[in-house]
Amino acid sequence: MSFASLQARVSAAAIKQLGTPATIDGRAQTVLFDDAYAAAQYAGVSLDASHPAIWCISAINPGLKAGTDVTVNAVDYIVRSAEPDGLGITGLTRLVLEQLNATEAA
Amino acid sequence: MANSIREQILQALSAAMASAAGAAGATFIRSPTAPLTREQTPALLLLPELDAVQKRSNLVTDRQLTVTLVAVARQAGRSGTAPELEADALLVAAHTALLASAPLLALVLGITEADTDWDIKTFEVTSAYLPARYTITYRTACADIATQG
Repeated sequence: MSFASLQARVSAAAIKQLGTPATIDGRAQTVLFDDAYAAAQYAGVSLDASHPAIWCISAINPGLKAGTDVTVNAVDYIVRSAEPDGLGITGLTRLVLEQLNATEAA
Repeated sequence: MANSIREQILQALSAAMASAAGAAGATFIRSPTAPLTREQTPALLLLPELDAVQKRSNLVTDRQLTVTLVAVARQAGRSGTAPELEADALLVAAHTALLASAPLLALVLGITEADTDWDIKTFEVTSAYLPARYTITYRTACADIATQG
């Protein structure tokens, strides 16, 4: 087994054990979800904000692109950017999310 | 102890902006010191920047107070009003209120719009930050900044 394959298996196992249930473009799966606080800094003022993103397994999410629907923890998002690791080592794609408002989600 | 004319101007300005913000369903905050919460937006902010002496005679001093009014709005998702449009509408309301406030106009010689900027960022939602700067000219007695000249 190549190092890349082994690493991909480790990533998949870690996500399975540590991840959060989510739906990506209608596909139910487990992902790593990060929604850390990040104040939006403007000149002299900042706003409470966060940077929601998930890491998902690239192999089961082919063709991910901006605008894809994602649901995590019962909150609806759209993908702002899909960022595959590009090296094929982790086998993961990072999806930067933007939250949908309640009326759109309904 | 009386407040300076500068502070009286800022208080009159705050009252006018609070009214305009309230009518638009926004929050008014003067000189916020903590990050604005999601519940506080849309918001209209007053940021006093500088008070500079322009001209001085033996009896009176002409001064120029620079303030920034900032409209902040957030929007989530693919549809709905873009935050820059909501913030712009808030600035329109603020501008109108600024130039129509009788208590404020009674304290000043003139109000001039200086410039406006745009800053739009996306975090978990997209937010728009539109600062509009104004210079307010007023006159005080040389010997007492709490007395109009």
